[in-house]
Amino acid sequence: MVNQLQNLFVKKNVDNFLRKVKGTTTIGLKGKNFVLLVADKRATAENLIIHKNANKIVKVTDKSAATIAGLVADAQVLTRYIKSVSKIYGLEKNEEIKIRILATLLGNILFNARPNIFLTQFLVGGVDEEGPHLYNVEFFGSITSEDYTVTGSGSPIAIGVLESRYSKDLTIEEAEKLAVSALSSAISRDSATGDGIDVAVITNKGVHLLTQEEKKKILDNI
Amino acid sequence: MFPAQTGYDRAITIFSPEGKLYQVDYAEKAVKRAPSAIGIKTPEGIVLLAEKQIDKLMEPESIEKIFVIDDHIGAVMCGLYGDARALITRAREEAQSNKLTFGEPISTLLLTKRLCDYIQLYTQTGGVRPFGVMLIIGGIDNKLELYITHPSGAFYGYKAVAVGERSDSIRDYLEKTYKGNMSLPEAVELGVRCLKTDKKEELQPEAIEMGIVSKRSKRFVKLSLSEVEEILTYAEKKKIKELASLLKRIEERETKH
Repeated sequence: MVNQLQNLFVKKNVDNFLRKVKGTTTIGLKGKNFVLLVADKRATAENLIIHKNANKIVKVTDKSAATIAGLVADAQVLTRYIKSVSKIYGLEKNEEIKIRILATLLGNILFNARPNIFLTQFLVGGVDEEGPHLYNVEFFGSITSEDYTVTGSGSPIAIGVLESRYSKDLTIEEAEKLAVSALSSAISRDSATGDGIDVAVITNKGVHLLTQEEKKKILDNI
Repeated sequence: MFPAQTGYDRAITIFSPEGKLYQVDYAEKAVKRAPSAIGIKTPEGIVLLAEKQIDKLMEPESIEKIFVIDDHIGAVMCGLYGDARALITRAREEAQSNKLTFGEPISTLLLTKRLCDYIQLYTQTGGVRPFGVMLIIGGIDNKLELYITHPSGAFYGYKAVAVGERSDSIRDYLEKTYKGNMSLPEAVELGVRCLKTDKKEELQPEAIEMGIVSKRSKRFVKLSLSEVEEILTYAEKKKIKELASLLKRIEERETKH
């Protein structure tokens, strides 16, 4: 009972807090042999744009990356931590860490931190021996496997675009176009999203962060 | 070998009247009995080599004598296998802990120091015994560095070094043949020659492990069995050019991502 009350109390505070800090749109999309992560570059604190060139996509291992939304400090510390843990895991097992294990690791940390929870939400994506995987990891510790998903304040706008045109056999080019146009809609209608985009394509060759020219090409094609 | 000093070799925290710690000396002897390990440093990179004892029914790849510690540091062990694995786990944790605390990869020297602090504890604490293992640690940060750790907790920097059962003759051979301006493929070829020193039978690829730190890629790479096989055949015929192109291919394999 006490626990439930405590959780309710936490939940209320989190809601209040997240309203202030969760100004972002990040998109994750899974294809047949790739995962796509897209994020904007604006960091906000209430109505103030506090940073115009924020990196919201973090490479975790050679073949996985995560997008972050919420408190930057919490997200940075957690990604640093799972980077280290996955390195040791990989060296001891002589194989690269599976994406599901990365998500579980994050979920456990987030759950065990209660009631002083980390105010972040992650999309963890990557390719391992079982194929491409995309997970949504929430600040309470829940893990959900997704084909396509969005986080942040712009998510209600982006998800509409994404859902209407998503199919499981999209090529990388089509997926890039779809995800970027979903983000563009969020940028044009959500005041906390903007200042450019970051796109990461993850295949079994590794994580590739798109260059300025590559991004411009996609934007011109939409 | 050692004079029977009743009592002074029972507990490691006790010095003998001559000022010796017998258990540490015995740990060194445990290393002396084990198959050899070699490390050679050149301006282009470092090569680590290890021999392992295998028999017919064994799965050779189940024994690992060369370990990746972090992207840029590797180590080869000589001595008790279990002790080595405990040390390597510790080394990997130290490397990641440094990355978490300071946000940058650990230097080879600092890693060696941290590891030796840990080894030293086992020469002074009650109820424990020293590590019966020596590690040759090779890595790159600003510059290439090669160290060996001693069961006493001491460490020494080397240009080229060998430990293990035939280490005396291999060290002699290295002293005669090592040159400071060698290329990495030349060092690999020298390493293979060292493995043959004092050895009657042919070298078996399954019983050899190799690892390479290259200055160009700034990474430590452990070689696969097929790559070791290739190196042995090239080294046999002293085909340095082929060795060089093979090493380049190995570097590129790891730095692709």
